[in-house]
Parts: sequence; structure tokens; C-alpha cells
Amino acid sequence: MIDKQCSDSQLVLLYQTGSEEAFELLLHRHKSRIYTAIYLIVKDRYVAEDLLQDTFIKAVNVIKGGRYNEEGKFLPWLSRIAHNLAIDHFRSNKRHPEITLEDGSHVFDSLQFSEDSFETIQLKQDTKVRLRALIKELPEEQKEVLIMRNYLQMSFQEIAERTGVSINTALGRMRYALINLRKKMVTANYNAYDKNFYSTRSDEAPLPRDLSRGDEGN
Amino acid sequence: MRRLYLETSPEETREIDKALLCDSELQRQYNEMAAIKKELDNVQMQPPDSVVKNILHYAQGLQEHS
Repeated sequence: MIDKQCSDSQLVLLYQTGSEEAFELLLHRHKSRIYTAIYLIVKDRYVAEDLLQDTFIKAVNVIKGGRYNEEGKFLPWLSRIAHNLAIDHFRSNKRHPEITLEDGSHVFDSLQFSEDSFETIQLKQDTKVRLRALIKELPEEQKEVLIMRNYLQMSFQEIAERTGVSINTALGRMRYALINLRKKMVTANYNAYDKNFYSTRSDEAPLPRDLSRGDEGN
Repeated sequence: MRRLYLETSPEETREIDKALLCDSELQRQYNEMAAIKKELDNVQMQPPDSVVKNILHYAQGLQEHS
């Protein structure tokens, strides 16, 4: 039985030496973030499922092939694989957009058409779906940074390098992404977002979480 | 932003936290950002079990052959 507190690096080592349980832990630890990030880029649930599989299969092949040399950086490495696959799909789809039917053999995977997917319409009241829809409405550059930082867990420095901008630009895009998202949440009357609480008078504003615990945030 | 995503050094963290304590408007903005970040963490999607099983089967298959 593996300790669930094991670091990613320890789990990779255990998997390399034959522990299936270690890989299962890695998969369960990261599948949701990676899947969400891919989905927000490709905007199609079925494509996201395929790309999630491709991401982990690629990771497994590299690890089991003895070519893994990212000690201590498993998640950033996995995130890069997922991001590359999702962006490749996004670009090829942009060049060759397809409009197909949901007849079991084809799905909506065109960027233009996936915005109003059947799922989104059916689950309009679902707040999670609504927030994901709001994320999709963000300007492309802001959305890209938000997905890379929040779901793929890349550092701002790495995002800057991967997107070819300065770190200040990456930070600025993230800031505007959150500000715009907040505006959209207020406008859309997003249920889970308590706008009354977060727009209290400045002298009533709660302390940042770390400060209120007396923790200096180290 | 870097403070929100815990990318600051201990020294930077102390400086920023001091500034937050002294500036209620800055603190309000920080709390708003923190609230949205929390919401973003809450909207994570779960891949279907079938997809997870496919990945595990693939990994196990390789394990048996290695």
C-alpha cells in the first residue's frame, strides 16, 4: 500500500520499478486538472477524452521506455504534453474545421460550433457548466494563460516562455482574465459567486486567507 | 498574481502581506481574485471512468511486457 502523501517523483520511481498502484495514484491525482484544461482548449468533451488518453499514454511510454528525465517536475512535464496535444488539435481544427452530426460516429468538434453544444444548452442551469462557458468567452490570450496557470499548473515564468511574452505580460493577462471573469460572473448572476460578499466596503474586506490564519504564507 | 499562486519568495510574501494589511482597497482586490481562483478550482471536470480504465489498462499492459 503506497502512502498517498508520496510526491509525484516518488510515484514515478515506484512505477518505473513495477508498481501499478503508483501510476494509478498519479493518474487520479492529475486527471481532472489535465482533462479540464484540455476541454477548455478544444471545447469538445469527446476530443478532450481522447487527448487525455493520449497524454497519459505518451507519459507512460516515455517513463517505461526509460526516457523520463524530469525528476521533480512531473506535473509541468505532463502539462506540457497535454498542452501541446491540445494546441496541435486546436490548430489543425482551425485549418480544417469540420461540421459533423452527433450520430454516434461523429461529434461537434468545430470551434465555431462547439460553443453552443447540446451539453451546454441542456445543462444551462448547472453552475459549473456556466462558469466553464464564461471562461470560454474570455479573449484567447487571457484564456490561454488562465488555463495554463490554473489547470496545467505552469509557473508564470514557464507560461511567458511558452507563449513568447515577458513575465509581466503573462501576469497582466492573468490579472485581466480574473477581472473579466468576475465581471462576467456578476453580469451572468453566477449563483456560486457571492458578489455582495466580495464587494463589501473596503474597511470590511476580509483578510487574505493566509493572513487571517496568522500564516506568513511560506 | 504571483502571491495568489504562491510563486513569491518568503521575502516577497512578507512584503506583499504587509502591503495588503495597510491597504484595504488592495486587500479587497486580492480577496476578489482569491474568490474567483477558488471558483475556478471548483469547476474541474472528471473524465469518464471508461477513459480512466483505458489508460490504466494500457499502463498495466506495458507493465506486464516490461
